[in-house]
Amino acid sequence: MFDYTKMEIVVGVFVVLGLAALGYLSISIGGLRLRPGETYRVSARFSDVGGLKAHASVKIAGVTIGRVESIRLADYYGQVELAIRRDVPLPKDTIASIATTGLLGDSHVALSPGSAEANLADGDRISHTEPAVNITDLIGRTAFGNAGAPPPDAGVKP
Amino acid sequence: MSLFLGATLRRLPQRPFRPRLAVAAIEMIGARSLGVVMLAATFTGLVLALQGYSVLVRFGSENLVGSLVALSLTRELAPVLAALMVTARAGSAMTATIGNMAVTEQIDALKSLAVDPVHHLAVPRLVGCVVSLPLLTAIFSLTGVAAAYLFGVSVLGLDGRDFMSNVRSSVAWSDVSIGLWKSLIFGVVIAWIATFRGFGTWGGALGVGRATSRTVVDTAIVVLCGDYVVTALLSR
Repeated sequence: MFDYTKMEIVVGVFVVLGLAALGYLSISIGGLRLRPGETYRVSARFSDVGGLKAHASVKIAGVTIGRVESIRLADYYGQVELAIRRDVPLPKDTIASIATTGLLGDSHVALSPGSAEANLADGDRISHTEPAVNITDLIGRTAFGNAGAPPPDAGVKP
Repeated sequence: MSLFLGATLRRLPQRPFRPRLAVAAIEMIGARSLGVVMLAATFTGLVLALQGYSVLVRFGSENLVGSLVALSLTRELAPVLAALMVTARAGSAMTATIGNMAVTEQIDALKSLAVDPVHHLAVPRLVGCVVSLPLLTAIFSLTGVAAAYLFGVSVLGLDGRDFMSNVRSSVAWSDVSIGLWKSLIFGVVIAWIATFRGFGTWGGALGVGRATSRTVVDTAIVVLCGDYVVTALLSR
Protein backbone atom coordinates (compact mmCIF):
# COMPACT_ATOMS: atom_id res chain seq x y z
CA MET A 1 0.00 0.00 0.00
CA PHE A 2 1.33 3.38 -1.02
CA ASP A 3 2.09 5.47 2.05
CA TYR A 4 0.07 8.58 1.38
CA THR A 5 0.25 10.10 4.87
CA LYS A 6 4.04 10.18 4.84
CA MET A 7 4.04 11.97 1.50
CA GLU A 8 1.52 14.50 2.80
CA ILE A 9 3.77 15.22 5.78
CA VAL A 10 6.80 15.68 3.51
CA VAL A 11 4.84 18.08 1.30
CA GLY A 12 3.54 19.92 4.35
CA VAL A 13 7.05 20.38 5.75
CA PHE A 14 8.31 21.56 2.35
CA VAL A 15 5.49 24.10 1.93
CA VAL A 16 5.92 25.45 5.48
CA LEU A 17 9.69 25.73 4.99
CA GLY A 18 9.20 27.46 1.63
CA LEU A 19 6.62 29.90 2.98
CA ALA A 20 8.85 30.69 5.96
CA ALA A 21 11.75 31.44 3.59
CA LEU A 22 9.44 33.53 1.40
CA GLY A 23 8.15 35.48 4.39
CA TYR A 24 11.61 36.14 5.79
CA LEU A 25 12.89 37.20 2.38
CA SER A 26 9.99 39.59 1.73
CA ILE A 27 9.50 41.14 5.15
CA SER A 28 12.88 41.11 6.85
CA ILE A 29 15.24 41.43 3.88
CA GLY A 30 12.94 42.91 1.23
CA GLY A 31 11.39 45.40 3.67
CA LEU A 32 7.82 44.70 2.56
CA ARG A 33 5.32 46.70 4.61
CA LEU A 34 2.15 44.71 5.23
CA ARG A 35 0.35 47.79 6.59
CA PRO A 36 0.91 50.68 4.18
CA GLY A 37 -0.82 53.11 6.60
CA GLU A 38 2.37 53.29 8.67
CA THR A 39 3.88 56.11 6.62
CA TYR A 40 2.94 59.57 5.44
CA ARG A 41 4.19 61.36 2.35
CA VAL A 42 5.95 64.66 2.01
CA SER A 43 7.72 66.05 -1.06
CA ALA A 44 10.83 68.16 -1.55
CA ARG A 45 12.24 70.01 -4.57
CA PHE A 46 15.98 69.98 -5.19
CA SER A 47 17.96 71.93 -7.78
CA ASP A 48 20.17 68.82 -8.14
CA VAL A 49 19.25 65.34 -6.92
CA GLY A 50 22.72 63.98 -7.75
CA GLY A 51 22.86 60.19 -7.58
CA LEU A 52 19.67 59.79 -5.54
CA LYS A 53 17.55 56.79 -6.56
CA ALA A 54 14.06 55.57 -5.72
CA HIS A 55 14.01 53.37 -2.57
CA ALA A 56 16.97 55.28 -1.12
CA SER A 57 16.65 55.85 2.59
CA VAL A 58 15.59 59.03 4.38
CA LYS A 59 17.60 59.68 7.53
CA ILE A 60 17.60 61.98 10.53
CA ALA A 61 20.89 61.95 12.46
CA GLY A 62 21.86 58.83 10.51
CA VAL A 63 18.78 56.87 11.56
CA THR A 64 16.57 55.63 8.73
CA ILE A 65 13.03 56.96 9.13
CA GLY A 66 11.64 56.47 5.63
CA ARG A 67 12.24 55.84 1.95
CA VAL A 68 12.31 57.77 -1.32
CA GLU A 69 9.13 56.81 -3.17
CA SER A 70 9.72 58.48 -6.53
CA ILE A 71 11.80 61.12 -8.28
CA ARG A 72 10.49 63.18 -11.19
CA LEU A 73 11.02 66.53 -12.86
CA ALA A 74 8.71 69.39 -11.84
CA ASP A 75 9.32 72.99 -13.01
CA TYR A 76 12.91 72.01 -13.85
CA TYR A 77 13.47 70.90 -10.27
CA GLY A 78 13.91 67.35 -9.10
CA GLN A 79 10.74 66.58 -7.17
CA VAL A 80 11.35 63.83 -4.62
CA GLU A 81 8.45 62.11 -2.84
CA LEU A 82 9.34 60.79 0.60
CA ALA A 83 7.46 58.20 2.66
CA ILE A 84 8.14 58.95 6.33
CA ARG A 85 7.29 56.76 9.30
CA ARG A 86 4.14 57.99 10.99
CA ASP A 87 5.69 58.06 14.46
CA VAL A 88 8.29 60.65 13.32
CA PRO A 89 6.69 64.13 13.10
CA LEU A 90 8.61 66.72 11.07
CA PRO A 91 8.45 70.46 11.96
CA LYS A 92 7.43 72.81 9.12
CA ASP A 93 10.93 74.32 8.84
CA THR A 94 12.73 71.00 8.37
CA ILE A 95 15.67 71.21 5.96
CA ALA A 96 16.15 68.40 3.42
CA SER A 97 19.55 67.77 1.87
CA ILE A 98 21.05 65.01 -0.24
CA ALA A 99 24.03 63.33 1.38
CA THR A 100 26.30 60.42 0.54
CA THR A 101 27.44 57.65 2.84
CA GLY A 102 31.21 57.61 2.42
CA LEU A 103 32.95 58.63 -0.79
CA LEU A 104 31.47 55.89 -2.99
CA GLY A 105 28.37 55.12 -0.95
CA ASP A 106 24.72 55.45 -1.87
CA SER A 107 22.98 58.81 -1.83
CA HIS A 108 20.25 59.34 0.74
CA VAL A 109 18.04 62.20 1.89
CA ALA A 110 19.16 63.71 5.19
CA LEU A 111 16.61 65.75 7.12
CA SER A 112 17.49 68.27 9.82
CA PRO A 113 14.36 69.05 11.86
CA GLY A 114 13.70 72.71 12.60
CA SER A 115 12.05 74.22 15.64
CA ALA A 116 8.64 75.28 14.30
CA GLU A 117 5.59 74.44 16.40
CA ALA A 118 3.50 73.13 13.49
CA ASN A 119 4.38 69.83 11.83
CA LEU A 120 4.28 68.84 8.19
CA ALA A 121 1.09 66.99 7.25
CA ASP A 122 0.57 64.25 4.69
CA GLY A 123 1.17 65.67 1.18
CA ASP A 124 3.01 68.83 2.34
CA ARG A 125 6.21 70.06 0.76
CA ILE A 126 9.51 70.72 2.51
CA SER A 127 10.43 74.24 1.40
CA HIS A 128 14.08 74.40 2.54
CA THR A 129 16.35 72.11 0.53
CA GLU A 130 20.04 71.84 -0.22
CA PRO A 131 21.17 70.19 -3.48
CA ALA A 132 23.50 67.23 -3.67
CA VAL A 133 27.18 67.99 -3.23
CA ASN A 134 28.96 67.49 -6.53
CA ILE A 135 32.03 65.50 -5.53
CA THR A 136 33.76 65.91 -8.90
CA ASP A 137 33.44 69.68 -8.55
CA LEU A 138 34.71 69.53 -5.01
CA ILE A 139 37.75 67.45 -5.92
CA GLY A 140 38.50 69.73 -8.87
CA ARG A 141 38.42 72.81 -6.67
CA THR A 142 40.55 71.21 -3.97
CA ALA A 143 43.08 70.00 -6.53
CA PHE A 144 43.48 73.49 -8.01
CA GLY A 145 44.02 74.89 -4.54
CA ASN A 146 41.19 77.43 -4.48
CA ALA A 147 38.63 75.61 -2.40
CA GLY A 148 35.71 77.87 -1.67
CA ALA A 149 36.22 79.95 -4.82
CA PRO A 150 33.94 79.23 -7.77
CA PRO A 151 35.22 76.61 -10.27
CA PRO A 152 37.45 78.02 -13.05
CA ASP A 153 34.72 77.97 -15.70
CA ALA A 154 31.97 79.35 -13.46
CA GLY A 155 31.54 82.62 -15.32
CA VAL A 156 31.82 81.14 -18.80
CA LYS A 157 28.50 80.55 -20.54
CA PRO A 158 28.61 78.41 -23.67
CA MET B 1 2.03 24.13 -28.51
CA SER B 2 0.20 27.16 -27.13
CA LEU B 3 -3.00 25.25 -27.83
CA PHE B 4 -1.75 22.66 -25.38
CA LEU B 5 -1.09 25.29 -22.68
CA GLY B 6 -4.57 26.66 -23.35
CA ALA B 7 -6.04 23.17 -23.00
CA THR B 8 -4.22 22.68 -19.68
CA LEU B 9 -5.28 26.07 -18.31
CA ARG B 10 -8.89 25.51 -19.41
CA ARG B 11 -8.98 22.27 -17.46
CA LEU B 12 -7.50 23.90 -14.36
CA PRO B 13 -10.84 24.88 -12.77
CA GLN B 14 -12.56 21.74 -14.07
CA ARG B 15 -14.02 19.22 -11.66
CA PRO B 16 -13.24 16.77 -10.23
CA PHE B 17 -10.30 18.40 -8.46
CA ARG B 18 -7.66 15.85 -7.66
CA PRO B 19 -5.83 17.25 -4.61
CA ARG B 20 -3.97 13.97 -4.08
CA LEU B 21 -2.43 14.15 -7.55
CA ALA B 22 -1.44 17.78 -6.96
CA VAL B 23 0.12 16.92 -3.59
CA ALA B 24 2.00 14.06 -5.23
CA ALA B 25 3.21 16.49 -7.91
CA ILE B 26 4.41 19.02 -5.30
CA GLU B 27 6.22 16.22 -3.52
CA MET B 28 7.90 15.06 -6.73
CA ILE B 29 8.73 18.53 -8.08
CA GLY B 30 9.26 20.58 -4.94
CA ALA B 31 10.04 18.54 -1.85
CA ARG B 32 12.42 16.17 -3.59
CA SER B 33 14.27 19.01 -5.32
CA LEU B 34 14.94 20.67 -1.97
CA GLY B 35 18.26 18.95 -1.33
CA VAL B 36 19.76 19.59 -4.74
CA VAL B 37 18.48 23.18 -4.77
CA MET B 38 20.04 23.91 -1.38
CA LEU B 39 23.32 22.34 -2.47
CA ALA B 40 23.39 24.44 -5.64
CA ALA B 41 22.46 27.55 -3.62
CA THR B 42 25.25 26.99 -1.11
CA PHE B 43 27.94 26.83 -3.73
CA THR B 44 26.47 29.68 -5.78
CA GLY B 45 26.58 31.84 -2.66
CA LEU B 46 30.16 30.80 -1.94
CA VAL B 47 31.36 31.53 -5.46
CA LEU B 48 29.62 34.92 -5.53
CA ALA B 49 31.13 35.87 -2.18
CA LEU B 50 34.63 34.82 -3.22
CA GLN B 51 34.43 36.45 -6.65
CA GLY B 52 32.78 39.61 -5.36
CA TYR B 53 35.31 39.89 -2.56
CA SER B 54 38.31 39.61 -4.87
CA VAL B 55 37.00 42.50 -7.00
CA LEU B 56 35.60 44.72 -4.23
CA VAL B 57 38.61 44.43 -1.93
CA ARG B 58 40.61 46.47 -4.48
CA PHE B 59 38.32 49.41 -3.84
CA GLY B 60 38.23 48.83 -0.12
CA SER B 61 34.49 48.19 -0.27
CA GLU B 62 34.56 44.51 0.62
CA ASN B 63 31.58 45.05 2.92
CA LEU B 64 29.45 45.41 -0.21
CA VAL B 65 29.85 41.66 -0.78
CA GLY B 66 26.55 41.23 1.09
CA SER B 67 24.69 43.55 -1.27
CA LEU B 68 26.25 41.93 -4.32
CA VAL B 69 25.39 38.38 -3.28
CA ALA B 70 21.88 39.18 -2.06
CA LEU B 71 20.90 41.31 -5.07
CA SER B 72 22.22 38.96 -7.71
CA LEU B 73 20.65 35.97 -5.97
CA THR B 74 17.16 37.38 -5.40
CA ARG B 75 16.84 39.09 -8.77
CA GLU B 76 18.56 36.77 -11.22
CA LEU B 77 20.33 33.67 -10.05
CA ALA B 78 17.85 32.09 -7.65
CA PRO B 79 14.90 31.92 -10.06
CA VAL B 80 17.06 30.80 -12.99
CA LEU B 81 19.18 28.22 -11.19
CA ALA B 82 16.24 26.83 -9.20
CA ALA B 83 14.32 26.50 -12.48
CA LEU B 84 17.26 24.73 -14.15
CA MET B 85 17.65 22.32 -11.23
CA VAL B 86 13.92 21.55 -11.24
CA THR B 87 14.02 21.03 -15.02
CA ALA B 88 16.90 18.61 -14.75
CA ARG B 89 15.39 16.75 -11.82
CA ALA B 90 11.62 16.89 -12.26
CA GLY B 91 10.96 18.18 -15.79
CA SER B 92 12.86 15.30 -17.33
CA ALA B 93 11.04 12.82 -15.08
CA MET B 94 7.67 14.29 -16.02
CA THR B 95 8.38 13.91 -19.74
CA ALA B 96 9.72 10.39 -19.24
CA THR B 97 6.66 9.33 -17.22
CA ILE B 98 4.07 10.78 -19.59
CA GLY B 99 6.12 9.81 -22.64
CA ASN B 100 6.33 6.22 -21.47
CA MET B 101 2.57 6.22 -20.95
CA ALA B 102 2.14 7.60 -24.45
CA VAL B 103 4.29 4.99 -26.22
CA THR B 104 2.69 2.12 -24.27
CA GLU B 105 -0.79 3.41 -25.14
CA GLN B 106 -1.73 4.02 -21.51
CA ILE B 107 -2.96 7.49 -22.48
CA ASP B 108 -5.38 5.89 -24.93
CA ALA B 109 -6.42 3.56 -22.11
CA LEU B 110 -7.19 6.58 -19.91
CA LYS B 111 -9.30 8.04 -22.71
CA SER B 112 -11.23 4.79 -23.10
CA LEU B 113 -11.97 4.93 -19.36
CA ALA B 114 -13.47 8.39 -19.98
CA VAL B 115 -10.62 10.04 -18.02
CA ASP B 116 -9.36 13.20 -19.66
CA PRO B 117 -5.57 12.56 -19.91
CA VAL B 118 -4.68 16.28 -19.92
CA HIS B 119 -6.79 16.86 -16.84
CA HIS B 120 -5.40 13.80 -15.12
CA LEU B 121 -1.70 14.16 -16.04
CA ALA B 122 -0.89 17.74 -17.02
CA VAL B 123 -2.99 19.82 -14.61
CA PRO B 124 -1.57 18.41 -11.33
CA ARG B 125 1.97 18.84 -12.66
CA LEU B 126 1.28 22.45 -13.64
CA VAL B 127 -0.08 23.12 -10.14
CA GLY B 128 2.92 21.36 -8.63
CA CYS B 129 5.40 23.45 -10.61
CA VAL B 130 3.66 26.77 -9.97
CA VAL B 131 3.45 26.08 -6.22
CA SER B 132 6.95 24.66 -5.86
CA LEU B 133 9.09 27.06 -7.88
CA PRO B 134 8.51 30.28 -5.87
CA LEU B 135 9.10 28.36 -2.64
CA LEU B 136 12.29 26.77 -3.99
CA THR B 137 13.45 30.17 -5.28
CA ALA B 138 12.99 31.77 -1.87
CA ILE B 139 14.84 28.89 -0.21
CA PHE B 140 17.59 29.21 -2.84
CA SER B 141 18.07 32.93 -2.14
CA LEU B 142 18.17 32.49 1.63
CA THR B 143 20.50 29.50 1.51
CA GLY B 144 22.85 31.34 -0.84
CA VAL B 145 22.96 34.45 1.33
CA ALA B 146 23.44 32.32 4.46
CA ALA B 147 26.33 30.45 2.83
CA ALA B 148 27.94 33.71 1.70
CA TYR B 149 27.47 35.13 5.20
CA LEU B 150 29.11 32.17 6.93
CA PHE B 151 31.95 32.12 4.40
CA GLY B 152 32.41 35.89 4.49
CA VAL B 153 32.50 36.08 8.26
CA SER B 154 34.59 33.00 8.98
CA VAL B 155 37.03 32.91 6.05
CA LEU B 156 37.18 36.40 4.53
CA GLY B 157 36.94 38.11 7.92
CA LEU B 158 34.05 40.42 7.06
CA ASP B 159 31.94 41.99 9.77
CA GLY B 160 28.69 40.06 10.17
CA ARG B 161 26.57 43.07 11.15
CA ASP B 162 27.83 45.14 8.22
CA PHE B 163 27.12 42.23 5.91
CA MET B 164 23.51 41.83 7.04
CA SER B 165 22.79 45.56 7.11
CA ASN B 166 24.12 45.82 3.55
CA VAL B 167 21.91 42.91 2.54
CA ARG B 168 18.85 44.52 4.15
CA SER B 169 19.42 48.01 2.77
CA SER B 170 20.21 46.94 -0.79
CA VAL B 171 17.44 44.42 -1.40
CA ALA B 172 14.06 46.10 -1.84
CA TRP B 173 10.67 44.47 -2.11
CA SER B 174 10.74 45.15 -5.88
CA ASP B 175 13.84 42.94 -6.20
CA VAL B 176 12.18 40.12 -4.29
CA SER B 177 8.98 40.45 -6.30
CA ILE B 178 10.83 40.39 -9.65
CA GLY B 179 12.47 37.15 -8.56
CA LEU B 180 9.12 35.67 -7.55
CA TRP B 181 7.41 36.70 -10.78
CA LYS B 182 10.21 35.04 -12.71
CA SER B 183 9.88 31.85 -10.70
CA LEU B 184 6.12 31.74 -11.35
CA ILE B 185 6.68 32.20 -15.08
CA PHE B 186 9.43 29.55 -15.10
CA GLY B 187 7.11 27.19 -13.19
CA VAL B 188 4.51 27.46 -15.95
CA VAL B 189 7.20 27.07 -18.63
CA ILE B 190 8.69 23.92 -17.09
CA ALA B 191 5.33 22.18 -16.63
CA TRP B 192 4.17 23.29 -20.05
CA ILE B 193 7.18 22.07 -22.04
CA ALA B 194 7.62 18.88 -20.01
CA THR B 195 3.99 17.74 -20.30
CA PHE B 196 3.73 18.84 -23.93
CA ARG B 197 6.83 16.85 -24.90
CA GLY B 198 5.52 13.91 -22.88
CA PHE B 199 2.19 13.80 -24.69
CA GLY B 200 3.91 14.20 -28.05
CA THR B 201 6.27 11.25 -27.51
CA TRP B 202 6.36 8.56 -30.20
CA GLY B 203 8.70 5.76 -31.24
CA GLY B 204 9.20 3.46 -28.25
CA ALA B 205 12.03 3.64 -25.72
CA LEU B 206 14.19 5.67 -28.12
CA GLY B 207 11.39 8.21 -28.44
CA VAL B 208 11.12 8.59 -24.64
CA GLY B 209 14.83 9.35 -24.45
CA ARG B 210 14.58 11.85 -27.30
CA ALA B 211 11.56 13.61 -25.78
CA THR B 212 13.25 13.81 -22.35
CA SER B 213 16.45 15.35 -23.64
CA ARG B 214 14.51 17.82 -25.80
CA THR B 215 12.51 18.86 -22.72
CA VAL B 216 15.65 19.66 -20.75
CA VAL B 217 17.31 21.56 -23.60
CA ASP B 218 14.18 23.49 -24.60
CA THR B 219 13.31 24.45 -21.05
CA ALA B 220 16.85 25.57 -20.27
CA ILE B 221 16.88 27.79 -23.36
CA VAL B 222 13.44 29.26 -22.67
CA VAL B 223 14.37 29.91 -19.02
CA LEU B 224 17.60 31.69 -19.91
CA CYS B 225 16.05 33.78 -22.70
CA GLY B 226 12.93 34.41 -20.62
CA ASP B 227 15.08 35.65 -17.75
CA TYR B 228 16.57 38.30 -20.02
CA VAL B 229 13.16 39.31 -21.39
CA VAL B 230 11.57 39.59 -17.94
CA THR B 231 14.51 41.57 -16.57
CA ALA B 232 14.41 43.93 -19.56
CA LEU B 233 10.65 44.41 -19.27
CA LEU B 234 10.40 44.78 -15.49
CA SER B 235 13.42 46.95 -14.74
CA ARG B 236 13.16 50.53 -15.83
